[in-house]
Amino acid sequence: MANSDDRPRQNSLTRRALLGSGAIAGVAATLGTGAMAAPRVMPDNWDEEVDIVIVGSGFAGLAAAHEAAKAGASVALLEKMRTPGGNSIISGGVIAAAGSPLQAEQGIEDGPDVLLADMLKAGLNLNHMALAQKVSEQSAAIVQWTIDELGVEYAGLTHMGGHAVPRAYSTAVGSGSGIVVPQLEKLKELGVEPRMRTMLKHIIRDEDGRVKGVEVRERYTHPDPDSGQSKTIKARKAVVLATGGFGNDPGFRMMQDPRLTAELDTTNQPGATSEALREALNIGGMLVQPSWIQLGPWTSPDEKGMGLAPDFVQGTTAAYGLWINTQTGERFVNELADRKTRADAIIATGNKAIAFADEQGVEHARRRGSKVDRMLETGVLMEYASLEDMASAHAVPVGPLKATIERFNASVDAGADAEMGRYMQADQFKLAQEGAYYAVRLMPKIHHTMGGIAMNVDAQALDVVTGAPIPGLYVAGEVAGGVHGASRLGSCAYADCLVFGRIAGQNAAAEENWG
Amino acid sequence: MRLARKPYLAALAAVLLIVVGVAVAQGPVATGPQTVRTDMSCDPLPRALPEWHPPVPHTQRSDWPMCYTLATPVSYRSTTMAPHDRLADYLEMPQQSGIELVAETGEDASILPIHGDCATCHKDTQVLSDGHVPTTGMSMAQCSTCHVPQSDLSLSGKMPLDHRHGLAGVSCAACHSGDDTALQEPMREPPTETCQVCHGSFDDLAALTADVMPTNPHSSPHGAPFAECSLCHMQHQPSQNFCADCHDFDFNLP
Repeated sequence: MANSDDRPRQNSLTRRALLGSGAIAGVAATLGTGAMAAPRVMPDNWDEEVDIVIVGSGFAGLAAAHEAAKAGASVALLEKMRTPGGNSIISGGVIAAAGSPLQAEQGIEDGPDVLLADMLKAGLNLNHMALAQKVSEQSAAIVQWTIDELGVEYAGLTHMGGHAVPRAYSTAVGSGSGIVVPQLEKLKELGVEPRMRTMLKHIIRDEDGRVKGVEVRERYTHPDPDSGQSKTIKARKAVVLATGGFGNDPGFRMMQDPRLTAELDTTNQPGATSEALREALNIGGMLVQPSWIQLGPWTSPDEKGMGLAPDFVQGTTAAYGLWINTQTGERFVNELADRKTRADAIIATGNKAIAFADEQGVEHARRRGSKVDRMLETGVLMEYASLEDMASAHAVPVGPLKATIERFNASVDAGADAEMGRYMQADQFKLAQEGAYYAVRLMPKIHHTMGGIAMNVDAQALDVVTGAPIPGLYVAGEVAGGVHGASRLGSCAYADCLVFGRIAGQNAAAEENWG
Repeated sequence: MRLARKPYLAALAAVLLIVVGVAVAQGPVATGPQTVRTDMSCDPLPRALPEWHPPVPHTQRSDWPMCYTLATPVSYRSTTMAPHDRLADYLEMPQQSGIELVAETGEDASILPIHGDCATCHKDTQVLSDGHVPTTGMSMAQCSTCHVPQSDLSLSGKMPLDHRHGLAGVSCAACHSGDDTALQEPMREPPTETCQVCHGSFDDLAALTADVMPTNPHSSPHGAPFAECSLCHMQHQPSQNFCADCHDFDFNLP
């Protein structure tokens, strides 16, 4: 069928109004979608019909597809990239569970209220309360669901920044693939496989206000918006948007925070762009909190993207080592604070900060399976024969550095971090006076976009005019906004995506067919 | 000395041209569109020499003094010696992969789109370097005698993979058919399992590339979805370094 971009617009006034608006035209030019904002015309004939169209194959999309297929709905699961899993499959492999069996084993007291308080603190109380509450209440249950339903294997608990206690289950394989791959396998059993290189071009919302289907481009080649062939898919029950964030979309990113220019590196995969989010806005979705864009504090300028550093910086140096400002030799932040606090603090040093550990810390890292040797090979982790050598290599004043270590060791003896209030690990050890030291240079990179389409606790997308749910449209995962407020805590995205993905899938399957 | 040598070379060339003429006139003639000769006099030679090549009477390096001084009808890029040294190595090489076996057993080579004669498709466009030996009739294995994999002359990234497969005797139908006899209609991208019939499992591949820097490209920690051959290795378009989307891994990939 013809590319819908060639079709006459339903309302030429809309088009003229947009053309006349310098500001909006500027957005279009920057973002380069090749199409003007306009309502979609209902097609005379659909090329394909299913019950539910799910867009995106990360945690949220796969969880939605899982529930929808289990409920007996026919599902078209779309993924614009050549590989499934989005950012989820390459992510760090940690999922928060407050009040879990592993915590009980280790004598760690925790519960949904403690997690919620942590989320609100990091989120500067901008979190949409009902949504944050839902994630915190469901976190332990959703981890159990991954074990019981998907057979996910976990290696143990990790203490993520901003959490009062260690509560993140770490996948045995050390990345999000430990959950995405079992999700894909389970879906295959249920008869659903992601359709790769199928990009959402338009959401089709009828004049009665209901979302009734989508127009996609098959054989799409990212990032060319005009690649592939156009096709319409009727969604008898609903469309679920699980299209992720826009961390790797400098144009849209800079619209929300002009400081986050294309020069900044990101941990996100190339498909983490905004076009699906903008299409949801185009058909009347409500945008919330888009300027809250999180930078990961544990990345290094000495490698591209996420790289190898974060696991070591977070898992070892933040819990068993120290982060210092190289200009002063002093600590500048609680190394286990939330991401925003730490990223802001690093930027405030002028990115002149290193994270380091001693030999005992590196031994601990090796036991955790951290890729110490690989990092030494690539040079992102630097080994020094002594503390003095490390100081000299990074132009750190050695006297103040030694004093910093003495103060920290005194805190370890005291069982409380007098300087920064950092959580003391059960096996916390003092930093060595002698022996080798290991350092990573720190530079934050764009990691997560908190804002997105407004939703309610039933994962229904909200209309920008009425504030009511848009019939037939659900959202889940990073494309939805409000759950995390100003800053998301590490390991809370997994819980968010899986909890709301499942809710979206269940509720979409329960919709009445519109035709 | 140099002056004295030239007539000697000319004489040798004349003798050899006669020998070549006799061999071509009397030897069995290759049939069909295949341009790869399989009628070489040297029995242990597992693959054919190109048409232009004079017969090789023996297979030991020490038996080839003439090769080293021969005025061949082409000028080699650098030295005359190097390719022949590699040829000697090649002759002593055992069979290595399923792909070469396919070449040996002659999967219907008549439908191969390429057979070393670049001009058939590329016409007047120069695709070989200046002074390259004629390639008509060459197989991939023969290309590799000079273009040794992972050497400076490696063809990695320089020639489309469908050419390499074609030159190795892998027909279109070998990949694009359900039952290995007929071409698929419409033609689709074959699954990774098809590649693995010849190239082995990812563990096998990972072992082959264990020393590749900065990291082993066939040992991704991202799980099965990131272990599809066609993520990087394209047949009918330039290959892509998929890892480089997120990592600074500077692979030179075939």
